[in-house]
Amino acid sequence: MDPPLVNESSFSAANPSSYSLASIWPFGGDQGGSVLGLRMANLAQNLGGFRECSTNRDGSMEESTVTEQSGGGRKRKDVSSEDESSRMVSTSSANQLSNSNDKRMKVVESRDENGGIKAEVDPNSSDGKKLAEQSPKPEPPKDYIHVRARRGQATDSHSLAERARREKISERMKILQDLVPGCNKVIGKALVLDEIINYIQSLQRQVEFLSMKLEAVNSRMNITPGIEGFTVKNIVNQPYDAAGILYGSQAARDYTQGAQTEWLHMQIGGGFERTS
Amino acid sequence: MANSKSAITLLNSTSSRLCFARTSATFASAPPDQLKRQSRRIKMAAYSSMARVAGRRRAWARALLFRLHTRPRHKTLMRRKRRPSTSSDDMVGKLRRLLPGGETMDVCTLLEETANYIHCLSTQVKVMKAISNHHLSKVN
Repeated sequence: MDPPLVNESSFSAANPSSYSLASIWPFGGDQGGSVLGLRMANLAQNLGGFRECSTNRDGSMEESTVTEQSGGGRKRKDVSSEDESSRMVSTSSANQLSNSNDKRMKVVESRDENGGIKAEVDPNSSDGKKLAEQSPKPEPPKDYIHVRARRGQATDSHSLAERARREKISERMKILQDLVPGCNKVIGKALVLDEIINYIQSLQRQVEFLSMKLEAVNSRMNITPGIEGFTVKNIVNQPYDAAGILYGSQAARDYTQGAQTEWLHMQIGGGFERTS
Repeated sequence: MANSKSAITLLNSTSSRLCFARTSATFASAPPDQLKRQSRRIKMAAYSSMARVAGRRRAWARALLFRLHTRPRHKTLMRRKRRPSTSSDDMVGKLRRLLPGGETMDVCTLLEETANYIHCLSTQVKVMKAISNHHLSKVN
């Protein structure tokens, strides 16, 4: 490679386009110069001799003109291995020598995009300024956003929040799937939810059934004689009177009467003659 | 280990509360109406102990305790019949109605609370099975 030849051609041909580039570039003078200089430091491995003049505004202008001018595409090849947009630069800069203006503008645009994407590759130059064009929120991980952006998905804060919410929901669904037996084989959110609902319903019914069973066990335990049976019986004696007073009507009295006879029968069957 | 610890706590709490429910439920064991009421009392005690073990931080436990304490009568009779549907939003609505206090949650919280609720319910079922088996073996 021969840097002086490129240098000459850049100064001869492409000065106006470099001014247009500077006007399109959305930074102030020295700030843009430093950013371009840092990017220039990246490029300097390829271009070799440009390392000396790469710190100030002149160096940035030269570097940008080189970007547009390069007829020999082999210098661009190394840069274009980074992403697709700079590959577009190289393909369009291959027929740059025809000096058509629209081509040049296209190069400038793609160059701009290239710088924006490169900002997340280079940690020094990405102090939030270029990322402000693409994503208004700095708190989510940037490379994540840019991967999404390169895939063509939305990057505004609402869709990012929605995406995070959806991922949270699917993670919870996975936890639930692990919790509910036989739910791992089911595919589809609605079916999984159906399985979960059925499982909860079955558990609630089981609790209901078990409470009935415990009640049955309990009543059977009351029949069998024991110390607790006597105490319970002593407690139990008064609510009957209260119920008889409370209801007052004939039907209710019959009801309580029937209940009492049945109760007595049960107690006799259990051997509670003393208390009756 | 935390699971077993909470299960033991649940066992203690459930057995004591069930004893209380049993002593208060033995007014009359004969009529079927009172039988139902009695088993409902046991069920309420079981749910209440489960919610207490789960703690006040869980939304479903809070809602369950609130529902048990201020229990509106005959609410289940007023529930409308809905046509069966299989879309996921309807399923989420069904889950909302199933989970205590689920009407006011967003979907993320709903799923998280559902996971915890399932955990506690299954532990509760195990504990109640153990209690009934224990008593049955004592009776027989």
